[in-house]
Amino acid sequence: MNFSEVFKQSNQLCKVSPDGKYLATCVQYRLVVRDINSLQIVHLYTCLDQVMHMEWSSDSLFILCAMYKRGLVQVWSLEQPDWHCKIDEGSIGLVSSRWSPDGRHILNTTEFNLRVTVWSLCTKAVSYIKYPKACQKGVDFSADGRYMALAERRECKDYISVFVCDDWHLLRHFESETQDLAGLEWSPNSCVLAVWDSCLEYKILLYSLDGRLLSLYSAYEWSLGIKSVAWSPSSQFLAVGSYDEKVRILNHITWKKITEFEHPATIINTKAVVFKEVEKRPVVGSEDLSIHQLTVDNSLFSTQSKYEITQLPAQVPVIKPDPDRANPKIGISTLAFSADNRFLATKNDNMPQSLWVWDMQRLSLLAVLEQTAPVRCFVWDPRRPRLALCTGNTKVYLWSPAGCVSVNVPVEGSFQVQSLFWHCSGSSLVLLSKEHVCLCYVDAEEEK
Amino acid sequence: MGDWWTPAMMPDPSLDNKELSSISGISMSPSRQNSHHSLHSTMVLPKTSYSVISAFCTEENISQCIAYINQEVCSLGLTGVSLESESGGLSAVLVLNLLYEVLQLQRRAQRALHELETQQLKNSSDLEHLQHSNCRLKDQLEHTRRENSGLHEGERQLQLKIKTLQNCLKSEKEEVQKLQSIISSRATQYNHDSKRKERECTKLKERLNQLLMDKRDKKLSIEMSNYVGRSDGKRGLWKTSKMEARHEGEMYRALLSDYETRQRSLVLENSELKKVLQHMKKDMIAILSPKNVCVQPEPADDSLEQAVSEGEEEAGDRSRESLEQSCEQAREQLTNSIRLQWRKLKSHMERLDSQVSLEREGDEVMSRKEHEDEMQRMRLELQQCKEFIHMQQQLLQQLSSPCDEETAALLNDCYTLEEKERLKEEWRLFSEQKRNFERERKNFTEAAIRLGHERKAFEEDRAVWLKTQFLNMTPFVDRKRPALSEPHGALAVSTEPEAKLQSTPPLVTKSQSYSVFSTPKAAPVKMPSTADLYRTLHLIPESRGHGKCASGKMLTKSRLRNCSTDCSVISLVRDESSPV
Repeated sequence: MNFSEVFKQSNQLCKVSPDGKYLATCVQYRLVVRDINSLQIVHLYTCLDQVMHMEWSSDSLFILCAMYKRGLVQVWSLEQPDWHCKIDEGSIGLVSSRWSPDGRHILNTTEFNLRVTVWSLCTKAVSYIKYPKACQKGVDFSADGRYMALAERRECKDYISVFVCDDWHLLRHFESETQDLAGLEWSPNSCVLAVWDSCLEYKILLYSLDGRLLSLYSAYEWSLGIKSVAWSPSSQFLAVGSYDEKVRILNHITWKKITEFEHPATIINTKAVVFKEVEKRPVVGSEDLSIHQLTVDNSLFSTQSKYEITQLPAQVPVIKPDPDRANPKIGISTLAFSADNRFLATKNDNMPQSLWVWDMQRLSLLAVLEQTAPVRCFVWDPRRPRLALCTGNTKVYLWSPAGCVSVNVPVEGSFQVQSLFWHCSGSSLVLLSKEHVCLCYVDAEEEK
Repeated sequence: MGDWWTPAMMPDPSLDNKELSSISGISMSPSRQNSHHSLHSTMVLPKTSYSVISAFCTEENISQCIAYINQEVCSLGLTGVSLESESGGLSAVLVLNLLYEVLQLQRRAQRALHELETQQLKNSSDLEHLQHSNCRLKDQLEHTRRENSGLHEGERQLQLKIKTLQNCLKSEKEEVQKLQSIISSRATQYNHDSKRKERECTKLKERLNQLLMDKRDKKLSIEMSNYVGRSDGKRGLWKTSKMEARHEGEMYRALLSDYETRQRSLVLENSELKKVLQHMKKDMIAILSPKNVCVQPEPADDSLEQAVSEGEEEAGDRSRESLEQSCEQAREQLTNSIRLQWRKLKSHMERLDSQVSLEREGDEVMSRKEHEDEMQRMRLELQQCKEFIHMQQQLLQQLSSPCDEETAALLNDCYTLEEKERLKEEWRLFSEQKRNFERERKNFTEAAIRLGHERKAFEEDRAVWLKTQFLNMTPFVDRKRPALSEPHGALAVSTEPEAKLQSTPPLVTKSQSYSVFSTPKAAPVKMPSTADLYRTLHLIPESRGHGKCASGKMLTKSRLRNCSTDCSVISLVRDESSPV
């Protein structure tokens, strides 16, 4: 496992181009584009203000930089460095900006969710979509980039509009049977739209592309409901994580529940493996304590850690959520299927140090990773069944069916990994600390 | 003084009419006691034997006395003393007998009294105990009553509490209901408000939008160096109905393709399942057919079985054929055939099970007896072994620890029990012996008493003799002679001078103390004195001795029946005589 040198970055703005050739990072008001292999700066753009949001277009030709405070969006072209585009949302304000899947339109959501402005780079045309709903996930593009689903709120009712992204033609517009729609998400095959209600009610609705209600599922009533939803890449499963610390798996034929995964505080499932991270301070001999060592090897100050397999039954550390506060820290907040559909990783908010990996073939618990610190972020390798996670310390953790490893990031100074994501090839991992970025090449080791 | 006690010299008419009750009162005066002695002394209580008589009977009223006594005695159920004795006087024998009987009566009465007293004591103690217990019970009753009342009070309080709590509950329920209604009203209000707010919000948004649009926000703009070509390289198209149709078509195409892929996968899965099913069916038939051959000897099932199997096979064939046919028909046949075959398989399995069990049973029947025998034998052996082991253990224990505590205790218990039994037996023997011994002692005591009486008689005789001797020697001989001859009839009189001489006021009490001495223990002490007496008797082997002896005999006889007080008299006499 190799690590690149460290670059500066701000606002956690660091993206790899969809084609995997470039790495764009924002440093204050500058946008730096590097070659992913050589890490040489290919382009350097200067924005008008500190960039708040940055996004590659789907064809990796343009980069969008949004400065929300100013209500400005700047677009840069990789092919033509001289080309520039500046979109000013004016006095209405800007809260969110994104590319349309075709990479030729920019969707800006104005303040107060007053409207969504669609700017075309092809025609300079501007169109508005009124009444967008301010919610967890109000807009979603289908995986094939053809359709956009938008949650709307009119007359105190939830509506869903399906647009054709090509020409922003409103394909379908229908009322959704939700009290207070919280989010919507296309299935990866772009045929089914999952719509779920706010946490006050456990309700998930499945709509066909043509607006028919395929199914409705509600696990229970009178209690906080859905917290997270995830489709399996094959569209076969829909995993629904809720406040009752369970994940329910719905199938794509009957849209009924196949199974539910509980997250018990005591793991007694003998088929599961509990990996527990154990920290160890390195024992330093006096002869090693030379100045050279001290200056060069910063790992001297960091703790080593390794995984140990815990004997079952094992106790998972649990925190008690404060019942008086909104959005209590309980329930399944994050779900992610591996690229090959075989595994599901979940995180229960009141067990923040643990990551659960489920086997989707046997529909059972496979592994639990018990970290020493709360899990910040976990991502599946887009190519292999491999999970990377970080806990805000100087280490990167990898899980695969073969086992677990913990790797210290060997860079000068401390590099506390706040978040990470995979390169689309799965060969490298981009690690982000508060102000720096570092690449971690994991493929080499894998090939060995 | 000496004159006084002679009966002739003491006419005391004042005493004639004395009531019996007054006698006792009089008897207490010591002076009188000393001065009056008569034959009545034998009749009164031993304590007062010396004194009482004088008042009751005098020479003159003897007959009355006798009559009176007769009357009294008769009333007591005893044969009276006949007055009409030849001599005109009293027959001593009769009187003595009477006395004796009276004494017996007295004794019995005393005993009865004693018993009654003890009974009384017992009863009183019982009574006391009962009273105590009664008191205690009363206290207890009081206590329980108090407790009860306390409990009642507690109960009442609890009841009150319950009532208040129930009231509370009711009020709480009402409160809850009220709150619920409030909540629901609030909820509706909230919903209403939120809707209103939302509407307002949308209105505001609309207005803001309108304003912004109207203002023609100059800032709202896009600056671009040049247009960018579409990502697909095509040119943008106009929005037309044709386009709309195309979008619809595309959408439906996408849906269709999705359904097609899904159907394809389902068909694939279905065919896989069908394959598996076919395989299973084949296997099933293969399994079932040899069984049919097996079962053939059973005539009852045979034809039916065969028919069924044939039918099934046909059905199976048909279904196999129809697999390729339309789904609807095939499904029914398939499920039917499968169901049939499954049922058959099940029955077959059951039969097999039963056969197996039957076989097992048969085998068991064969071997059961042997089995049982063997088992019995084994059990016996086991039992023997166990016993053996037990015995060994016991022996070992005994050897190793002769007094294991528990066993020792047990043994001890046994021993003590045995010992107890033996002791009891011994005790019984012992008590018997004791009783015998007691009896003997009593006999001995009696004998001793008798002896004492005899001795006393002797003493008396001696005293008389000595007196006569003395009188003979003194110059008063002539004067006293008539007096001496006189008291011949009165038995005890002879001793009186001595007694009178000796008797001092404390004598009464002394006599009591002496009475204690009249036990066999005292007897041996007195034995030497008898020897003395013999000696004295030897000294004076006078002719009078015979007469004296006879009288003495008489005396002893009478004295024997008397109380021990007489003994004391004797001893007194002896004490006096011993220095002589």
